[in-house]
Amino acid sequence: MQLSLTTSIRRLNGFPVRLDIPLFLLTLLLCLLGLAVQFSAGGEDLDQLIRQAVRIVVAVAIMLALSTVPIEVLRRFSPPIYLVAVGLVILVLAIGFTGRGAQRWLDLGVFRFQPSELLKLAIPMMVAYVLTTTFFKIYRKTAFLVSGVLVLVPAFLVYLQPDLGTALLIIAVGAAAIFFGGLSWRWVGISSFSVLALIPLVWPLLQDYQKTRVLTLFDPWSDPLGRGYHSIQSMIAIGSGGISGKGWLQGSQSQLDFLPERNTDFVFSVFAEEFGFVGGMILILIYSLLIARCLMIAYRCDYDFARIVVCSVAIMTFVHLFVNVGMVAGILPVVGLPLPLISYGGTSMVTVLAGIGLVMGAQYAKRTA
Amino acid sequence: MFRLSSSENYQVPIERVRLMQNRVIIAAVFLIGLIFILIGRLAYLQIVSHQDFAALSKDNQVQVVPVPPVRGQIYDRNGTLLAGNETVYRLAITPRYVDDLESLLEKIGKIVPVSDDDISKFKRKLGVSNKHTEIVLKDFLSPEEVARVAVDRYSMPGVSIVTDLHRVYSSSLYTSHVVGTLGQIDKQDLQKVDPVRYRGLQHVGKLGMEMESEDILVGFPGHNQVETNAHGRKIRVLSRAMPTAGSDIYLTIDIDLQKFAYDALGDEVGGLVAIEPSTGRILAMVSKPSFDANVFGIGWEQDERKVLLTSEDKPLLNRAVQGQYPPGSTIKPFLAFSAFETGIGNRKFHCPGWYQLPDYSRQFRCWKTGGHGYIDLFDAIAESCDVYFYELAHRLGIDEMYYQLSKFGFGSVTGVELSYETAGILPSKEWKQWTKGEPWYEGETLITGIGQGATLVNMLQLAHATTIIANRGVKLRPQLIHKTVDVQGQQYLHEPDLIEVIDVNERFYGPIIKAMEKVVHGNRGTARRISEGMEYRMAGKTGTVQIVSRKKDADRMDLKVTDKKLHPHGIFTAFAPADNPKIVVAVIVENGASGSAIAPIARAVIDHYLLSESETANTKGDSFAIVTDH
Repeated sequence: MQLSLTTSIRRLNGFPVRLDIPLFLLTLLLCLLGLAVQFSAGGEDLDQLIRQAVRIVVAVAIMLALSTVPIEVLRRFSPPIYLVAVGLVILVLAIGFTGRGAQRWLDLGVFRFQPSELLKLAIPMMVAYVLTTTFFKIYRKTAFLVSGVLVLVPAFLVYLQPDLGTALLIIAVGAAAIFFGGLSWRWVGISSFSVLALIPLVWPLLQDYQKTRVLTLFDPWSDPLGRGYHSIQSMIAIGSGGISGKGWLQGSQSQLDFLPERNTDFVFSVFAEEFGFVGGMILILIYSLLIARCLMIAYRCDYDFARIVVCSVAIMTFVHLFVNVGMVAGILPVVGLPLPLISYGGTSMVTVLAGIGLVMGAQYAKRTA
Repeated sequence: MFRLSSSENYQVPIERVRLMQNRVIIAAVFLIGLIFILIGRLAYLQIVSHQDFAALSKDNQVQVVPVPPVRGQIYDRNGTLLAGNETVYRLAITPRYVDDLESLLEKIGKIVPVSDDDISKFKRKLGVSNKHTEIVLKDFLSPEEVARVAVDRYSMPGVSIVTDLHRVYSSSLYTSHVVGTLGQIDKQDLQKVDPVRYRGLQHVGKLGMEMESEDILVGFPGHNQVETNAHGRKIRVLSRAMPTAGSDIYLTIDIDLQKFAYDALGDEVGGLVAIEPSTGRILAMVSKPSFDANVFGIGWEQDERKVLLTSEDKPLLNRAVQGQYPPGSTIKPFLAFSAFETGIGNRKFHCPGWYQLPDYSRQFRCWKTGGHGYIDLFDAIAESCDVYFYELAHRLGIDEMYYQLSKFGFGSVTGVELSYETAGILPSKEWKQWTKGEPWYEGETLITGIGQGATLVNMLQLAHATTIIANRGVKLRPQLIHKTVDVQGQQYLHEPDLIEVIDVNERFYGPIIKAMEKVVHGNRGTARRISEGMEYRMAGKTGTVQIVSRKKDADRMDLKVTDKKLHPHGIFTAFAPADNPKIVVAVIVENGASGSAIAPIARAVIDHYLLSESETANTKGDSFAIVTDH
């Protein structure tokens, strides 16, 4: 307690915001690229661009604010944050049941808030918390089991919303946190195997539209104007971009309304059509550097809790990237995960930048641990 | 139990640090592997298969354009068109092909008149639309304007004429409340409808049958696969899936009678419902004041819309099914069944002009100041004696009255195809406890007996209840749809829908119909004035609804009060011919003074219906001028 208090004071006197320059620059670069694609994908609508820019400013502010919070303090607040996040998901579900149809949002008047987003950070924090208690040191297996339950229960609630994409992402991030927490290889093997074994069991439980999305993946041309339409138009956009692309604002697929949801889930197709393979590689390189920087911070970190959280944020960002690009490139089914920092909308942007804020703050923790 | 204590000051063992650092490295390798999968896929799409996709993209761009279905039309029972589709021409601009918008607008302005309103609307849409879509600048071009634009079109790139179908209501004022209107699809609609089915459609039913029969009318969209060049210009249509037009609807309304009834109501505020008793089909449903559906739904005259929405007379309200009024004395024939069933009906009571309950100081007055003297049930109906019905109500009690009146459908919806019909109010002890949290008072039983107090009905309910008497207990659901005809010409007739034969002893219909005949044909019947020259027998009942409650000492309502808004409502319900009913009419005129005063409207409508096939009776003009006393 003594320790964390003095560190926070020292920080305020020295450098008010713990800015990790490489992370900050990479983040900013992605946001700017995002704005450029948004301008093209949004039909050169300036108002829309300004709204997105405002979101970026707000999200960056949140990132910087979070980076000043000592990670030790965050650790202590992990359980309440987790409980609030799960409570909000249940609340949204309850509202959804009383209303009609799917419900993922909580309308706060000024903005709409998606509690499942909060889980993306709250779950790895909670798992990291459990895996750094003295309880964990004595009862390792039980602690891992508890962590697993703490991941799967909220994931199931999110699945009920129904939001399969986010549910799977939460499981992936939670699994990553457990993995970095030091689950033995034997159990890593056993759980991976059981996930594979579960697939045929889960399949009948999926909603019809989810099944067709998966089946369409294997043969989009079976229904080119119906279920395969999104996939095919997206692949045409990417493929026709070639090596160097058609040029900014020149993507005919994107500009001519062929692409559905071209400024949210399918924004990468616009990017790849207009900037080509080269542009796509640069974008992936920037993401890779961002993730690598996070992993590097984790590697150097001496504070267990921080390391697990930082790694989880890196994995979360990666899963978003991989699933989104995999989806638009036709190797993964169409699940609605946005491209971090580039897709239009504020929710995922705040989540990812808040996560990076945690990473920045965590980097600072290593010196005092 | 162990405390989940913090490990802040705990020295992490070196082997654990090693383990975790290993994990980070393993993860990094794993992620690099996955990233190479993405890179490989992108390389495959963008380098290996680039030629194929480029060909697909550039030379053979296929666009799927939804083709909206043609909306079904609405006809009256005889096939007269009420809501149809007309071709309209709109002038549209595709921004992509325009270099200098201002000068183009100026140029267009010289060819066809374009208002500032049009331009500001256009610019608003311009801000939110794709540059490649046609944005409408001006609606409803006349054929000459189309020709003028067509001549100059080639000097104005980006300008096009869009052909569209537009909903037109040919008897709009007369039928707006029944036929309804269309309106722009808004956010709330989008939650209710299947967005795929409404691709390419801008309008959805918002009122009346247009709304209630949306599913029947709308049809299913088709789509064209259109080949476009790299600039998005249409080259040719590759394949078509034709849309399925919506079904046509034939209403039970007789437009001739509908118009006649509308005109018969004159400038009054009120409503009228006419039912064919043998089928339950609604022949006419009028609500006044009315509105022009062509303006309200899809027109562009915002100002007129605002007037309609805010007008004190509430022209959008369908008074026939939504206007709730106390039934007044029209409730008496229905209560009379209870008088017979309990044996009270054979007795005479004395009417001194007022009635008093044992423990009440309040006097309940009869409309006739001097009273009716000794009077029996028949004359009490014919002359609408209030005291008789106070006495009857007192003896029956509210429970029996509630039971009796609910058989005739009071207090519940009729089941007509207008989901927003009101149920009215049929008060009971439970109802009062539930809504007001108060016990029932005996005084309320009395005023319920003359159709005042909490009881509320709409004209459809009253016509429906009257139909049950005319049909001697046969309760048919009132219907507005006669049949639907799908695009193949297959007809689906809506058969009369028998709800039940109500539980009332058959012997009682005869006497009560006789009493109702006496209302019209009796020497002292309240509607005796309308029997003059009548070639058939009519059974009816007048009702006069006080708006200003009578004070304890007040005399009967003074009609000389200057403000017409203080006049009582007049209600009249009737059927004819009494021995073989062909038509039932219930009518209300707000502030119409009295039931007898407005009865001529019902007579005119019934005359018109019964006599129209033979010699058209001369029923127009002042034959139903409003009189101002009982």
